Amino acid sequence: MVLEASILTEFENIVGPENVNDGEVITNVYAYNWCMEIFNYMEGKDPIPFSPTPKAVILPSSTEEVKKIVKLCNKFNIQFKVQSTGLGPWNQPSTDNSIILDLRRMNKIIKIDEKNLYAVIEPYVSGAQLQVELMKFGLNCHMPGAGPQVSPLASSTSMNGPGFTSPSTGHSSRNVLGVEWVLPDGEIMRLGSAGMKNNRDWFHGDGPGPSLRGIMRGWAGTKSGLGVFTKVAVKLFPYPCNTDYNIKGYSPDYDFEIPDFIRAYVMDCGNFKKLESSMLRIEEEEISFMCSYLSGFAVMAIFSYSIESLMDKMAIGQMKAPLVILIAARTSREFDYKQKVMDTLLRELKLKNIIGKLYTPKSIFYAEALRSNLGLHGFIATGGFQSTKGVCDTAAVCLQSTKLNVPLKQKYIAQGAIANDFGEGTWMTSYESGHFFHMEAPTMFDQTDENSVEGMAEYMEKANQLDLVKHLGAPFFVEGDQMHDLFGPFMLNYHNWLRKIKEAFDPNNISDSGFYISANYQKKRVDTKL
Amino acid sequence: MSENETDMKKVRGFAGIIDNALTPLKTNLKFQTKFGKKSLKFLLNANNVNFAAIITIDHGLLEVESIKNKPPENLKKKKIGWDGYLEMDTQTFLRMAMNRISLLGVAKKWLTGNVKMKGILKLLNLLKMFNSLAELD
Amino acid sequence: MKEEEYQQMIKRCLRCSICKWIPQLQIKSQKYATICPSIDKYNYHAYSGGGRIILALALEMGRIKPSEEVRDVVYKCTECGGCAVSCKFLNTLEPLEIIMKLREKLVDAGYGPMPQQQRYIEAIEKVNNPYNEPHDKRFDWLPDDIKLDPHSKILYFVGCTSSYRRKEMARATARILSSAGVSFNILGENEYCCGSPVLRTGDVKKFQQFLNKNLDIIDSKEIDTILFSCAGCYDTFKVDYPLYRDYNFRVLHTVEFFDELIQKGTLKLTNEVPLTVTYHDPCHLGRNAERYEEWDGDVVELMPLISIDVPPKPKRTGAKGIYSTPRNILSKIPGLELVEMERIKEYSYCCGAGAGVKSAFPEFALHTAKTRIEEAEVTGASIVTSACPFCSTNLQDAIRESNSNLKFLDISEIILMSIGVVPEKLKKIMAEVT
Repeated sequence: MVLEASILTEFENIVGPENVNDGEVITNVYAYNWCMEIFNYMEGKDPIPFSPTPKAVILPSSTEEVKKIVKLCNKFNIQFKVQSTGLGPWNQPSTDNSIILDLRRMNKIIKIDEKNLYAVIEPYVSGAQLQVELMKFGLNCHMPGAGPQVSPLASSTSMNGPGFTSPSTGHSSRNVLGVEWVLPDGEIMRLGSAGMKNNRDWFHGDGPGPSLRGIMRGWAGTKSGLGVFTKVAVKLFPYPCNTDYNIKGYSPDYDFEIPDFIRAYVMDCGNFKKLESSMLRIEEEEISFMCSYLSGFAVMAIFSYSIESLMDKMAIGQMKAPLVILIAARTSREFDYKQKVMDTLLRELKLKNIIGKLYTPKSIFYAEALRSNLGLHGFIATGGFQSTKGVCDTAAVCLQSTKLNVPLKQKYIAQGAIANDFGEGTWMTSYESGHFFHMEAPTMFDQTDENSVEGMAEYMEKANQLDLVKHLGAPFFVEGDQMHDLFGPFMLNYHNWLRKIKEAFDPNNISDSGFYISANYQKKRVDTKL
Repeated sequence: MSENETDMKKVRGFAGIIDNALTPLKTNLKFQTKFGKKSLKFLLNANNVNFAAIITIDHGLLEVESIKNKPPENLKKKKIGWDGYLEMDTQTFLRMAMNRISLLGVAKKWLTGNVKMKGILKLLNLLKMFNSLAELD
Repeated sequence: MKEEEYQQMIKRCLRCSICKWIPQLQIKSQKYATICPSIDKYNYHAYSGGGRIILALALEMGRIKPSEEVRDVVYKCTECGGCAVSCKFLNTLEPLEIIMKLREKLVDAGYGPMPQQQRYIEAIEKVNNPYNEPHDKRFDWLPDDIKLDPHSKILYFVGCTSSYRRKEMARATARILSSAGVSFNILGENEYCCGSPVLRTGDVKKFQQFLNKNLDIIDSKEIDTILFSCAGCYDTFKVDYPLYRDYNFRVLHTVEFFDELIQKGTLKLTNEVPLTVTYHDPCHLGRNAERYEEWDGDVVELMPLISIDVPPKPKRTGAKGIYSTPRNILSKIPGLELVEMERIKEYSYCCGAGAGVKSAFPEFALHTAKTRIEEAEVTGASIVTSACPFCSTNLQDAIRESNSNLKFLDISEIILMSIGVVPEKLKKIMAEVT
């Protein structure tokens, strides 16, 4: 479907003709995304990596331009889907009666307030870009697990937001302060202190009255289902160690001058019971920069740079319940303290650190840990992975889900649909020093193999059902009408509230609700094999 | 040297993976002490891929070589002089190397014909060797 | 790239956008974090390395057809290889190879090269250079006092750009060689375009004609070593020629040879050159100048979906480019201070001229070069230097268009100053910047 010439002209009048493109090449390229084939299969469509093709792609450069575009979309009843760095099927339009707003031109760091510890950013500032500017002040930000190349604004306003540094930097949803929000009707709202009439600033996202931050993103983000976020203030944290970040050598065999006062621990807890008690105990002391449970295979992967280089790390793979901790400090005194605490904990918990004994990581591991680049190692085995929807709950529930997932996953491993990680493939991280945890089951599949895609889709669906059958806590990644309808009835029908919010804020259904929720959802009969 | 004989120049195929996996043991003092008095040779054959692995432990020193696993005559004890022979598919080898299959599990597979073993008592040393990968000082 | 590999690889882009950035661990500032000049200018995802992979898939699936719109996206790329370096930090995709293959397919489909590129290809066919200059003027650059040795086994392959547009580089090279007592020869009327401008546009068949023509001549002359002052010619001979035909001579860029001479003591950098200099890594001397290596290992299926290469396949990651050699030379020059830009070595930002972009999209080429000049200015350097006449041309155009105070000197010109040969032009530059 194409845009009428007159409508195209109106968009061009806002952003300039070079920033609107309705050609088949540009629009088709935007229709592609990682894992789209899985979601297509789930909806009974051909398992291809393309979503519906947008009618046009528009590149605004300011909030004012976004506002005008959204108003035009309302006028002409065209849905819009917003993206910035654009990783993942959640960036894709759900209908071909849509345009994509690519916020790439909105890439400024508006403000760094090093005294009050927040930064205000636009959508196309990447995590790495923000981090390096913050390091000049001895500060850091929360970076999503998807990698330093993605947008902290997208993560904090619109997507989920776990990260490898979550023990110390939390979850994206909890790092949002003031927000500038173009509502689905084109009006502009600013949340918290950013919305004040006088002395406007960005330092907090709440205001008297109901906090709209919850409405704005809820738990899992609205993935473009509730308007466009054009600025966000995010919390900042002290950079965990010395900010000297010196990389030598050539890609990919970089050498990193490991800063003083950083240390890794990898310990095999042996079983989930001990893993749970260890994580809780360690997090209780509030010293870790990173604290994750990763399956044996996954720990091998974070220390490897290719599938071939995994093979000399079998010793790590033998671990049944590995716990990965990173501590870091800015002074020797702080470091001594944290090390003493860890030594005491290891004795108390009867755990042994293999780092420096059984295995010594390359220096680059520390560089990647500091820059939150470790999540991308998930791709080295098959070139593709996706996670099940996971659990966000106590450590016990997360591990229970992990355990119960094993035989289900092994069934699909036996079919050859997904790679054999013995069913254990999991990432579980602590948040805010153990206040809560999440787990997800990263699963390696081959996106070019139809059987693998189908098996992966089926496994993901069955994992959802398993969580319900076994009452395995609040789901972590929840998106789209079908999933909300599945989980809602078990969670006080929250989905009905989400629908009311959607209806109130987007009565014309202009903001693409494909990965959020529709106000009026008619369950479609979907022909799948699931 | 014929193609059928041991390829001394490089460790090929599946044997290369085994060599890589066992590399940490080559400089591990604990392993060298534990196996310091042993002289053993094992043949590991992954029946779904090419190139079996000949693992030689010579008084604590470890070496892996590769040999074509077809025709089957290549793998005979008379030809190689192995003390223990183990044949399974690559996935089962991986489970064994990563300690995800117990002795009982191996025995079950042996009973069903999915694993072939000869020199079972000597093969226990092989299991010990893989377990050594995870032993801290 | 073989067709089978191409067909498999175009299905595997993760759309992670790593290809738009320098390697994540090398990012030092917000401003200089990007690697891809194409998407930096044109903004739509299709203009990135990953975007072009998706475009290739869409073409193969019949979702789009070869068209001028496809051509526009595919040819607005300098084939700098920056996307490939970043992608291959962890991934095994080959964005640059896919883009080159895409161009071949567009040429086969009658949609490539760009009209302006077609004109210079015709010029190469007619007069052996893309500038449409008379072939018999190719050696006008040669100073009368330079003695050539027709029996020398060292050949200086000058290249079209140095011969016609950047004569100062050719002269400087000849003077350095002469000063160091190196007897060398040139091909004279038998020197023809290396074919790089043709290869980069995807016309592989024509490229092979030029390749064979050049190698037939060189093979007839018992040459041991060929020196190149042009990074483009160097890369083409070193990396691309062996894919089509073997040869028996050593291929060296002049910086490599000069470094050898300096180490032997036959080239002495004695004179002070009190300049603050920043070095721009040419793509064709750096990350793209890695040879393809044969691999005769085994693919072992460890389990369904996971196969392992034993030994690991060699990966061209840009690590084996020539980076330290020019820097070593510059650091040995008395009085010279070398300051680095943020984007250097295997993650250097392209000058903007390559792969036919300067001809077909001059405004894009200039836009990119201006960005690079701005980055050079931030270092505080007064001189930007490099080792490629094409980089030289485009960067100098940008200096002029931006009214920058920077001056451009090729590394050979700086060496010339340090060995005590200072032509008038260089004296003038010294006076302006010091």
